[in-house]
Amino acid sequence: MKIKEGFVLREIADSIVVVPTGALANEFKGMIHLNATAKFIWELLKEDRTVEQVADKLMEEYGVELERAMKTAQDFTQKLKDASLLEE
Amino acid sequence: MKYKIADLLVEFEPKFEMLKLRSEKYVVETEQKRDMKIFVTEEHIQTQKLEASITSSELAEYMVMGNTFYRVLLKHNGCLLHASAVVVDNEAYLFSAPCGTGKSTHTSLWLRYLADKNPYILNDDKPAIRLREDGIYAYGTPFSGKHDINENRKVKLKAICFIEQSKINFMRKVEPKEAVKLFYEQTFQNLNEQEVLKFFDLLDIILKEIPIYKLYCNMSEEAVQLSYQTMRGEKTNEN
Repeated sequence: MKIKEGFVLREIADSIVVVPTGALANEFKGMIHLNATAKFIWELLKEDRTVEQVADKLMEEYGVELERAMKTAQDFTQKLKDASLLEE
Repeated sequence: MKYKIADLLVEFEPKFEMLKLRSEKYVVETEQKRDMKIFVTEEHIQTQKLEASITSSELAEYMVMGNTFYRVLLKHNGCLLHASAVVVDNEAYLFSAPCGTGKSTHTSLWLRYLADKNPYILNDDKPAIRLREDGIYAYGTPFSGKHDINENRKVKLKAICFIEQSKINFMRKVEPKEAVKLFYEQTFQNLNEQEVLKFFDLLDIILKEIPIYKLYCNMSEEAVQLSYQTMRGEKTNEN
């Protein structure tokens, strides 16, 4: 899975925001706020990756065990899917 | 024709009366090098008519020119805020909200209840905000809404306030984090990636320098006193 092209991520005023640009802005209105973990996963999903690959990276970065990493990866990617932010 | 808008020297030739008349007070005679030249073609006009569901070419030209101007303004460290800008004591107070909330109503009440301070409306719909070396300024432009209420002036930006209708009057400070979203919702639409990043660069600075407030208000004199007294801040040598 991979995030759709056309989103821009920017850190501003103590927060991390994501906004749609160009044609994507016709489809999506508004702005998304991410926390640090979400940003980490978001950046990973700029390339096509599986949930397992994301979990692996989370384990590497944060030193958590597989179960916890998988849960985080699954929860977040499900949210992205529900919001139609992932490429079909 | 050459125009000076938001301290930018812009060249364009209005085809229709609306743009011509509304831009008149910004005309300049100068040999200085222009900052931008804008062409509005028939194709732009037709596209705008379709996108905005309007039939008037005159209105379409006016809208295209406005959109183009603000996009180029972005390259020159400026942006727009969908707001009504009122000036008191040579400082600009911007009231922003979605259409129909009552920005213009609130600033018109400033004109009424603060009349002894000689307030005026700088731009009733889309003030240009520009970051200059010596500070952040708000400007009148020819693009100021249905009733064309604007002054060709440059005024130091004092504060920005986002309005919401409410039965009782209440005001609070807005932290930068919350302000990002509020501002973003009332500014440019449909920027490309480069433009969005530039916009956030500007917004970053604006949020560090300019206080942002949220006002919940009804249409009363009390609302005016609340917003004015809160936003003007403490003065050192007068009340």
